[in-house]
Amino acid sequence: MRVDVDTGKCQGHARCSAVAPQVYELDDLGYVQPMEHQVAAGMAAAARAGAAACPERALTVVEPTPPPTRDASAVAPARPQEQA
Amino acid sequence: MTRTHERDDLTLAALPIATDREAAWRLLLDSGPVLQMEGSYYAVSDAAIDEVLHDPATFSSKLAFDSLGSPVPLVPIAFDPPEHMRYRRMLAPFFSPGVIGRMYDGLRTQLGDLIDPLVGAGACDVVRDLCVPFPSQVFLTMLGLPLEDTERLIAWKTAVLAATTPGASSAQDIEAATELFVYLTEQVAARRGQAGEDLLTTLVNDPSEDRLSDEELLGMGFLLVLAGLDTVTSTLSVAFEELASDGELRRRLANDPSQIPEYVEQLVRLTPVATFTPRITSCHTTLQGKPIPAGSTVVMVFASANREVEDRHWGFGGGVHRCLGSHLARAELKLVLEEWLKRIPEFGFQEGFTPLMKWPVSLLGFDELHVAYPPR
Repeated sequence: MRVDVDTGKCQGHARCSAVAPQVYELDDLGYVQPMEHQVAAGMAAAARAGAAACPERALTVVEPTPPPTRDASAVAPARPQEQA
Repeated sequence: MTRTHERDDLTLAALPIATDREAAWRLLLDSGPVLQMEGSYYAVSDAAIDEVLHDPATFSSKLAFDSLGSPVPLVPIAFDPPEHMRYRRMLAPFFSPGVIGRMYDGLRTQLGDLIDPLVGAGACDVVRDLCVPFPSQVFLTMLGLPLEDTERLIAWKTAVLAATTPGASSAQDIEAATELFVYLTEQVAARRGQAGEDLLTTLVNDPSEDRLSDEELLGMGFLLVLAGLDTVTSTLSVAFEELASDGELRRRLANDPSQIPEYVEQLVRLTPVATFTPRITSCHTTLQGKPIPAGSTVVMVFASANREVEDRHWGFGGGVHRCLGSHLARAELKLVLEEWLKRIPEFGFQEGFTPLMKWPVSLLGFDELHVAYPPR
């Protein structure tokens, strides 16, 4: 997985790094650093928690696309997605 | 079905804050996302507040804070982008997590000096003896002012806060506000040409063309007094009320101080002391689809919105005006609780004392909390 960091939206709450210091690095003023690399497998849960802690919605977790499957019914949603 | 936004039956004064805060904030949330009370609009849902905070041109902080009639520009809250960015750029380095982290040791020493004399007494008013003086000392420390001025600063800030509350100010308050103004003016003058790394000395001697004028420096000093002292005092008072009332919580935090930062975060989420944060609309607009005329007061109720989501919150506001002192505030709250619980892990209210949360007020908290503990 990876995290899209919108540095334009970051306002320096620093909650991402408080919740997941191993994933999110801050600059000298406490704003999140852009992230180029993929999140290591063992840190996925921390990355999600850190992104969820951002009140500015500056962090978007992009989950890896599941491998293609020949059985179409397996990927079709069973019911309409609920809005969070 | 149309949603009713006008709540003629609701008034701020009638909210059951003192008796059941949870119900009061949820009552507003359930009447949202935007409701009208007593001539103002209230943004009470997470999405409504997101909309207000992220459109500062429409929902102006400048218009809202100009109406306070301060004699000096309240830097930076009474400004909108782009002017606002200049102030934030200058002030942010003094309030970053790293800089605040380096203040810990000094602040712990100050806390020891405040709390140690209370230990032997077996009882105190923890608001008067700790929650009030400590944030004032931190302000003096940041600005490079002597701690001996704490008593004077407390008297001035009390008067300044009264002077900015419509209808509550007296001639004495105005006089005290003027004294604070004179004090800060003298301190600015005294620091010109001096060496020092504190906020005031650094900004006074800023060599850049962009530097703050004396008037802007005074306005910043005033705003730091308005925004940084009673907010922390009030939040601390809520924490001490919860700890004195809840033995399980008290023992959990005393036995495992590593849980204090998360407790502080939830405290700020559920009891954000800046109860009502205003903006004024610069033009006709809509909020969550509801039309709002130009010149309307739109008040954000963070306490209500923060009950919609658990893992993030607007306790320190958000958008370009996100509380500049949030990292300092978190540090103050954490350090006070750590240093107190280290020395006084067991305490409760003095016999016959019942804490009372005043309402309606602009900052939620307790004016006095008489606590007792085994003297040592």
